[in-house]
Amino acid sequence: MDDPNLVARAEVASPPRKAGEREERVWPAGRLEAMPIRKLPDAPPSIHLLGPTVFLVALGVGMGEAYMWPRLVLLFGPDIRWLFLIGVTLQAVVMLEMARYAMATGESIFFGAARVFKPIMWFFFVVAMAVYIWPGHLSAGAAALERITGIPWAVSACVGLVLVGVLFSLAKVIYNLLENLLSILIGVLVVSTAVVAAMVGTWQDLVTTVTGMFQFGYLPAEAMSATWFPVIVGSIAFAGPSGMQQMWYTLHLRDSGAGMGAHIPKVRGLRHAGEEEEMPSRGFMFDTSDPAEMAKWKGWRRWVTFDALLLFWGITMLVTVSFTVLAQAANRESPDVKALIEAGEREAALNGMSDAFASAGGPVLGAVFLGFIALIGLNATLGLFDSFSRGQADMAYHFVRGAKRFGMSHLYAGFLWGVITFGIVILLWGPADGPGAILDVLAFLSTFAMGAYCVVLLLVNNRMLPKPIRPRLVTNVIIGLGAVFYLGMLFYSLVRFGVVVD
Amino acid sequence: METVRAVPGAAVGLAAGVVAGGLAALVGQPLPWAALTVLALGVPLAVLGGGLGVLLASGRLSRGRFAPVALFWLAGFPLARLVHELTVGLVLTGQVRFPPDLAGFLAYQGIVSLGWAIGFLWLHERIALRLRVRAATTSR
Repeated sequence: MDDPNLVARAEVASPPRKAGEREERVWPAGRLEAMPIRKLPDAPPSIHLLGPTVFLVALGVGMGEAYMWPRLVLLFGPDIRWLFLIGVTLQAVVMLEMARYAMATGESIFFGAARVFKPIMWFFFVVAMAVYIWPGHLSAGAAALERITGIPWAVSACVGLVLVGVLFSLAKVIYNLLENLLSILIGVLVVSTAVVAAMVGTWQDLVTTVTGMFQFGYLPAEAMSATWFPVIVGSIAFAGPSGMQQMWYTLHLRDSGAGMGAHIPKVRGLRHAGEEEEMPSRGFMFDTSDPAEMAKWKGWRRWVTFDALLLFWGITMLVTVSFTVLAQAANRESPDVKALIEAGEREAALNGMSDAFASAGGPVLGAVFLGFIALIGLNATLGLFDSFSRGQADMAYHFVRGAKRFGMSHLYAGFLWGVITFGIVILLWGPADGPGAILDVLAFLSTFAMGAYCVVLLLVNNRMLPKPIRPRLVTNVIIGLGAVFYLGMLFYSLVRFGVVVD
Repeated sequence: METVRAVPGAAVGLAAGVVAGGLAALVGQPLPWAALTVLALGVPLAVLGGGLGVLLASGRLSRGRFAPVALFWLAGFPLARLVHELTVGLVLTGQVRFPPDLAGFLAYQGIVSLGWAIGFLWLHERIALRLRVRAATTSR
């Protein structure tokens, strides 16, 4: 091994070695336990479409794509979409960099953050608890379902919560179940979106929507107001995966067996927790001085790049372009849609958009729109509950003293049922989005986490990985600009207008 | 054997027609209208999807790559939509009526076909994998 940081030494926790026995080679990263060197599995031989990106798409294609950006286009025109292009492209690069650490080590980005400085990881643990235990994200999808079926939204939301808990508890391997389920749901969403857009939109709608993405620097005067600038910041943060969703993607990559994740056991449902293999106390590293291993690494990077560009970037773009085309079609047919959207709260505006779609393309289109919102809500809920529990369980397992004796699967189940129980209590008796007094704090934390994870990525990938697999300068510059972009807009909004994000 | 290979693609194509027709029925459109949507859009997409499945399975189009599928649908999807428009027009008015701006219509459908190709391939791979696993289990 040429890399001076890669040393051969006896593993601290390993039993005393017999005379003549070879010392295990390890990669020391940060102050935590060093990573033993293991073989990198072969990358999938061809580009394939089934993989952990489905989680990121399920979480990422949400209200930002279906509601927030079409709304901004109706208010400020299609030229505002250059900000969306920047937001989603930046997220695709972030995704590739998250994957770099997870595939090279089999560790989550949270573990990587702890290797740099443990309080950073605890910051994300606390942010996740504060931001993601509130069941507000269920309300839009459930309300859309209520409009279609008449079932009260609180009932369908509570039943949905319990079903999610039961489903994940009974699954043998949660990742496999969820990947199967979400693949079908996302596939249906993408195919249906394409069909509806094909039937409703026009060439002109598409041209204005797409050319709007390249009007770099366009910001109308009214966008720079206390009313709308925080909305724009929020919309950029919601372009693709928001908050901590990219960080959770590293856990899904690991459980899918991508790269060195193949050496880490999978999280099991509560019913099959007894079959769980022992979770190692740290990840693994491959021999970066071996050309054969580096060739396999390049294969894995190609695999994840395809995921990032075609599946993540492509699907996010398709859905948002389609919804924007739909919104423009509705606006053309029913000009009062703009006033409805401008004035309304989210659900009022969603209903307004549905009504406008109905008046533009018949009741079918109104129902289609609400059906999509319900489907997006279901995807997000399934993905969010799993991701939250997975992330918290990972951090607790490795860094809370005494937690290891419960096992990863039991910790996962504990966080899952904890957030479900809390969610039901809040849906029935409390404020779904969180207490009004701390709503601004939660919105701030969610966007702040995005700037913070860009900084964490720079530190983790440049300090904790061997030199041959560290990111290139251009990637570092993009991620650095990402940190400036998110944190800069957030603090500018706070200082200039006294409002965080909306 | 060729029929089995066509199943995943045909199923996805037909499903797209059923989604459109099913939603029409759900919101109270007359049943014949819903059925017309299923047939006029679902059948062309199913035929093309099945054909693509056979081409992929036989190796005439390389598997595991997006570009051939995208190119196939770049021609196929606008064609299916044109058949859909013409059929609906024929049933409604009794005349064959092309869309007013045919070039713009085909260009727009061509762009949308990229999105459709991603969704098609996504579902196709999933269903085809299931069928392969089932066939392997049965043969054991």
